[in-house]
Amino acid sequence: MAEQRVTGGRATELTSEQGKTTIADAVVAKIAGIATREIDGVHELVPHGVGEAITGLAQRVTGADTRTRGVSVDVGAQEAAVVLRLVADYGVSIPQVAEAVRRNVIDRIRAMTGLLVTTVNIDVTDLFFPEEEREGSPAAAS
Amino acid sequence: MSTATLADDLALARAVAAAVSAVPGVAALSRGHSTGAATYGPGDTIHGVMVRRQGATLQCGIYLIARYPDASDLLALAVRVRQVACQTIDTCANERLQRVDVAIDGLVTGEEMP
Amino acid sequence: MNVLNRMLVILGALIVLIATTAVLLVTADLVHPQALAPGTWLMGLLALFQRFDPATRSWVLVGCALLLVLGMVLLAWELRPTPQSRRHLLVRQDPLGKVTVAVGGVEELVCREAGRVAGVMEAASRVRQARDGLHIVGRVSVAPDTDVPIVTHELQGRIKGAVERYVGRPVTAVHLITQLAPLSGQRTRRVR
Repeated sequence: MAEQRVTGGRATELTSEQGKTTIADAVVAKIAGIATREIDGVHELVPHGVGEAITGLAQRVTGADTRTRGVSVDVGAQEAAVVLRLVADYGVSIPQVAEAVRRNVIDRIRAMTGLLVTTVNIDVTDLFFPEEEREGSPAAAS
Repeated sequence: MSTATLADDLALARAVAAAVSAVPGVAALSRGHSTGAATYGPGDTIHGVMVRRQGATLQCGIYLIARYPDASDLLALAVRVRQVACQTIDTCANERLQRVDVAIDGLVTGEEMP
Repeated sequence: MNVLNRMLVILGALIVLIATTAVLLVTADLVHPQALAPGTWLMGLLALFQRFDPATRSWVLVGCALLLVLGMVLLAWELRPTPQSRRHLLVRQDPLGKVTVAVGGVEELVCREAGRVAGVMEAASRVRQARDGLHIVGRVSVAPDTDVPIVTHELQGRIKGAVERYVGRPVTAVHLITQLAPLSGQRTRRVR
């Protein structure tokens, strides 16, 4: 069975004698989002900017999938690049969380689509501080 | 030359749609994301399945939304969907599908609706 | 995708600006539709705006002015330069890609850590990437009965530790300015 992977413009395609299998970019982005959220220390993914926020609004109106916010994918013939924008939990080590996110995103996309992710850029835009009592702080006792 | 009618193709599409929807990992057939992702016929439209004839050959395009984590390997899902489509056509019409294109347009997680 | 989104927004803003300007000029009788759009259908469309009564014209002019402002704001927002190096710190760069963290988040972290030290009332910070590592400048406002040297020492240790753990980069300088008076300016954080 001869297989040939070609760029379908906005999707990854695998062509064989039985027919073509196409996986939309949005699906790859969704998988990246799922893999990112699974890592402890990631609070949430956030939109990339005004453009994506407006697009997200339009998607909400039309009922299209809005859960790929904060994830941007660039899918080529054999490889893909992923850009993530996220908020991390207070107290975590960004390098360690980022490494775990990268591993998970790469592994999950390869397992589910066969696509090889060669670049994962991560931008941590903010920290999430849960509203909590300060433990053991002398000020609380005064 | 094929003597199949539009109604026949619609029935085939309906049968394929039903069979594919039952495959574990398929959340739903997709509506409107891809152009031509439907079979039109008298009184009905089957979204997500496109049955077409080119001369004597029968071809099919299937556009679906997968469900995670039921579908943990999308390429394997596509293979399974292809098998099911071929079996359905073989059973219903005693015809052979020459080509089945599968497009996975979306992915939903456990609690989402497609 | 991000670039495409930005381009679409910029294009949209430009179209709004051009269309609104054309309508504004025609409604205010400053330009004749024929001068703007020699083609028939567009000229006819613009000519409609000339036929309004004075009251409606005023509303149209106000609407156009608002749209113009909105369009310009949107355009300026999308076109503004974002000096990445100032707004983000590089955590890691390797063949797999880049990991960056927003400076604002690190500065917030510094303030939060400062707030955990007894005696600190307000805190503000500036973080920047220097050649030898991260440099942090913090301004804190302390309670009157605070032992400043002890508090300063504790602050430096806490801030350095927290930021190094968070960013994974060495902190080579923590300069602290301590004062009794409340801090002025927007970038302060009241921690108590």
